[in-house]
Amino acid sequence: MERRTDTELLAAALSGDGDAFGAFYRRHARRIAAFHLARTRDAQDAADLTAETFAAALEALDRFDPERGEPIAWLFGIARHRLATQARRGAVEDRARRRMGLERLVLDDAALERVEAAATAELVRVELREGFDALPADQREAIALRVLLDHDYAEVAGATGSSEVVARKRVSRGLSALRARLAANGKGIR
Amino acid sequence: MTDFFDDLERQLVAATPQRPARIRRARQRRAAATLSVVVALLAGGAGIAAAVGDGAGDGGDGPSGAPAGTATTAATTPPTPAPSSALPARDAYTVAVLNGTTVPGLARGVANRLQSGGFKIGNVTNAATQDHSATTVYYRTPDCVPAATQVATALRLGDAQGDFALQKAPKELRALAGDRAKVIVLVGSDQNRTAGP
Repeated sequence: MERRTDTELLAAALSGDGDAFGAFYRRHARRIAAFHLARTRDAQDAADLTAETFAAALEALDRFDPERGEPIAWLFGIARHRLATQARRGAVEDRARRRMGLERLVLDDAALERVEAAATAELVRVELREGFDALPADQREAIALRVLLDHDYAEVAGATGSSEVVARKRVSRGLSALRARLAANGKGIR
Repeated sequence: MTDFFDDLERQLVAATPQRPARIRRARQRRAAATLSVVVALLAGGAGIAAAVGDGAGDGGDGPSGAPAGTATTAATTPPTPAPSSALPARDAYTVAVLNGTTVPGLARGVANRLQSGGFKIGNVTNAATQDHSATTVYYRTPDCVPAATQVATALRLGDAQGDFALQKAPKELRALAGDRAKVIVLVGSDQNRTAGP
């Protein structure tokens, strides 16, 4: 597992470390693809725009300024810009990809499906993660014990110093909040 | 089984150490394309940008954007007698168009576009091989370079490809193109625009 921060990876990439840029890419590629897929609703367009986003990021490495924010925000800024340019031109935006000498990856149906699946899974993962973090602490704790660690309600109640009824209520409230969050954001994907 | 994410990662990892060289190369290409557009506009006056209607839809922020506006303005004034770097009149020389792809009629389509842009078209026929991806413009003799530049600019090759290779026509190409052709366009699959997105 790559332990360096995004900022460290970008600095290393700027001095020519390909593996560092690869690690930065691996960390965010599926999320960027999900971003583009949610807006273009076309897996090949999303793939093209993902390539274009990272090519543009590679090209602009020297313009990233850690003082002005996190790399992920910078990357999303590039993604939004490329998406807008493509929409304006009405054609695949590929100029950064060409300048960086990358081949266009034309995908068959199976490969497109995998892009879609990976991007969607990433979106769900991010949503669950953020949704889980946003829950009240007692619900988070109850869900962790019951769902993730598979304790029964008596044990959850014992561990949290509450009654079984309260433990059940916390788990069920937390889970329905997560479900609602996924459902709300799912509309953006389909 | 190809995986998009893995394939793109491999390309990016390989491109990272080459980043400075690739940026430099892209800049040179852009400068060359801009220069050829400027030269063409200075010398050719009105016709160039307006003539080849097919390429007019791009509207990107590439090198052709600003000069195209200049050309429109220039069209309202009478063409100035050109200085020594003058481009020849478009109908003062013959352009041969060879199909370097397996797409039927691709060379004919390019020839038609050039013709409606005011160029004089000579032979339109198949090239010796049909595996060309990039369209290339050849000149018969060095004094035809301005004419070849004019053709390449009209086809917006510098814009579409980022590359602007003019080459001296080898013998077998000249034979196919015929004696009269000063400029030879070897059409590659990049001209097959209706098929792409």
